[in-house]
Amino acid sequence: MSRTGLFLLRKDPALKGMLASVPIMTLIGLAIRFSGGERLLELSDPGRSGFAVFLFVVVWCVMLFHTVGTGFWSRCSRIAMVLPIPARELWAWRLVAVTAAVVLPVTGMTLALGAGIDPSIFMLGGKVLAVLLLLLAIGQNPFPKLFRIQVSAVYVVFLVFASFLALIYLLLTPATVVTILIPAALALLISIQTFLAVPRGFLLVPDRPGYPDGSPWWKWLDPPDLAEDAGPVEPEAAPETAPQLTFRQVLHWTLFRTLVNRLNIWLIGLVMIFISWAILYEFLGGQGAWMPLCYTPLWLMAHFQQSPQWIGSLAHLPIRRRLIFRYVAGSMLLPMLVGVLLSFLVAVGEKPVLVNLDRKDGIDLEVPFEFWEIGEAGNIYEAVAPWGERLQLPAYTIIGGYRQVVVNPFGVGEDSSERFIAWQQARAIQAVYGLSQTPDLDNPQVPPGARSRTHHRTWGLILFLLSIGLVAGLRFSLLQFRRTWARFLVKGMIPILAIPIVLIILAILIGPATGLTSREGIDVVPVLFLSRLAGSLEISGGVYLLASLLVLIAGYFLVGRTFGKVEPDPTPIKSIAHDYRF
Amino acid sequence: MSVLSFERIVRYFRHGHNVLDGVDFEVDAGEVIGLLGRNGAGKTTLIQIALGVLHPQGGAASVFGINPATDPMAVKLQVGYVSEDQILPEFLEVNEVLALHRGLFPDWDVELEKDLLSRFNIRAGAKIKELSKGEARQVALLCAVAHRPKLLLLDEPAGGLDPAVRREFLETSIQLLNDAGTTILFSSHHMTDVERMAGRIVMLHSGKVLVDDALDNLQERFSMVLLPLDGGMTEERARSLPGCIAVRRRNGSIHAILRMSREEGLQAARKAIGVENIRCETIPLEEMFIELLGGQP
Repeated sequence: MSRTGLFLLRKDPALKGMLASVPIMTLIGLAIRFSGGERLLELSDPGRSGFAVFLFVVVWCVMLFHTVGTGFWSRCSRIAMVLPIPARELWAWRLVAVTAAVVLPVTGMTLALGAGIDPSIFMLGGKVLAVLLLLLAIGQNPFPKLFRIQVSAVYVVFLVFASFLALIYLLLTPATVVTILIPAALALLISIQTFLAVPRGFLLVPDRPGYPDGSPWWKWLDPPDLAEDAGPVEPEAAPETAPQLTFRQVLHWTLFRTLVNRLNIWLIGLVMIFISWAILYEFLGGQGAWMPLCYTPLWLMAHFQQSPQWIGSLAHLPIRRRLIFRYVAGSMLLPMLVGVLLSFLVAVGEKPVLVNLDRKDGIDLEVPFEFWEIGEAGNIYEAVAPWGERLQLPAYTIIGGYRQVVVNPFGVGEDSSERFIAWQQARAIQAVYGLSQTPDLDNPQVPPGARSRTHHRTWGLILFLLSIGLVAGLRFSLLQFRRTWARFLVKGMIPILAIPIVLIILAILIGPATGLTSREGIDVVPVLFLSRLAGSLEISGGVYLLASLLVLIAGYFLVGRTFGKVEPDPTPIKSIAHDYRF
Repeated sequence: MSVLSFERIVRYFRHGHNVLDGVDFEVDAGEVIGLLGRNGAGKTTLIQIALGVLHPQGGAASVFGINPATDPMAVKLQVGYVSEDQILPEFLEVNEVLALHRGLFPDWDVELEKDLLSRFNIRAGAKIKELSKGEARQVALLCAVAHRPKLLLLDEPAGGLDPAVRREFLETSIQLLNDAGTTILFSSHHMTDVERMAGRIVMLHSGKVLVDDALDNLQERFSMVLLPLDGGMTEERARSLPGCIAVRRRNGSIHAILRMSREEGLQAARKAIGVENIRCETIPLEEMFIELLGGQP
């Protein structure tokens, strides 16, 4: 690799952006895989309905990030343009950087989703990558003589249209070597054609105003030339300057564009929808995945911690902080509400139950984690039916070397008789709902709307503790201490809190293979501990829910008050692609 | 009652590194104050404290008797603000920006808006991002003055503008606001602008007010003696002159800056050196700035 190439790569904003996008996309992959339970994992299964949603997320997240964030439309920076480096070399290195910035995040996400689970996900990831590269090649093609693509409305519509076609291709074709090679080969051909059309030196603007630069089959994408269209302009008379929008509309539009319409907020919002959906859906289904509960507050805290920079450009205007706060908080609350609503809609359609006999992969009787038990390692745990049929229940390691294990006392096995399964199901329903049962596999006697006091109480307590933690965390993240070490503490809080989460994810990844821990152990123990705490407090789930709501409402005003005192950061926000924007 | 007052303002961004360390001065109605200082002297911080955007960690600011830290809204409604870094929403059209400000400021003067729009020759339908830097700054000035503020805070308002636009910008400000008796506090590195606009100079250095005086007085208090090199004149000898604060060798002579008026300086130099061939001049503000601030640690 030449020294010039190294220099250009090192300075490329796409590669700098990749430092953020690779871990983010990998973490999203891990979050989907591990924290949302099996139902979210189905999103990556081509045979399931969630496939389209998954593809949508991947394609659009990556495309949006790299289009907006890394100056996708620039073939080189304005500074590099005046250096004595051939234009083809400038563009080639830029393309290498942008391609790497597209390939590596998707690769990270694919590996996170598929490693050790299903190799077909790798084929799917390869197809997504090939299609993204094709979109990249198409997007780079127009006006190869110019140092940047002229982004016109037609060009944007064209790219959106091309993206939808790409999505349809992804959805309708199987993930095979051929379906990967076709878009990849097309991407290569278009890139070669563009490369050959690049002159020795890039132009700043087209040679002739109003015309593209000699790429005939892209002429229909020709953006209007402002200088020619506008002509000599007379200032408009003052009475005719009344804007189309009223003051309120302009105010809210300005607040929306300044505080909400940011790429990272859209991405976090999208993740929030999924997390809220996952948490509630899993709660309704009994398999409460607690980990999203840990990192949801972290997302929110990170969001609030950045807000002083966003409000800097509005700071000198007499706009009430309360109004600004509504936008900052709303940009996160709204996606969460959408996620909750989505979850309710799915729940209404599917009517999930807390005791679920799952026959999809083998057989498993799923009960909420609160009804699992902790036992001693080395002991044999058995379920013995009254007629003598018995099953040895699997014991799952909590921490390797630690003497205790977790056991599902209502487990069933492949060899269990239908009678045994019905007996276990009746026992589970009785334990979970407190309803007496006559074992009947096809007709469990659970009336509609039946509630599990223990499950609701446990998750009520979790929600209550989470609400308090969230409000405290948000207030803390907005504090602007005078002492350097205190400010460092506030800034470092999120990475510090993220460390245990990363360690738990690592434990889930490597734990089962090394005998260090088990997925069940990690899932069950915290819920079981909180279930016991909730049981000793003897407060109903409804009271916890009400208390949580009160804490959240009070927290909204408390955090709003703190937000009102925050000193805005008047430094203009510079994106990583700042040098590539004009 | 003063329009604007700073009482022992202390502000730091890193503990132990005070950007402002007891800044103390008042501004009366109708005054035009030039706020000077080297980069990082705290000019922007001080203006932002007056606007209520930053809070002092010690002392208190007062704008029309209101503490901007406790009631920034009341202050912002009475103040106009333009800065070099100011960002107008680039996604809005000029007329939308004006509609926004018209709604935010109850005392908005529509006639003045029309006058300025036509004077600046700006298309109202143009998007902010389509405007040149000078045009965008003119829109910012329009937004800052059209609600007839009683106090105008200008933080490097003409930074980055070409001389023609800069002059137009500053003269518009002065003409519009001096007529109405508006008080102006402005910071600038363009000393010619300061000399043209300001009646009083406040110079910040090391977090404190180094100079606070009327511009005329200031020019009376300092002078520059031009000493010919012949006759054994050295920089050391020049430095021994009474009231000498700086010495520089330039164009075959030695320039000594004295802390005294031109006449006093001339007499003192003749008496000390015993040479008649000496000239003494008043110092331009820029020279004074360099000598007072440039040589200090």
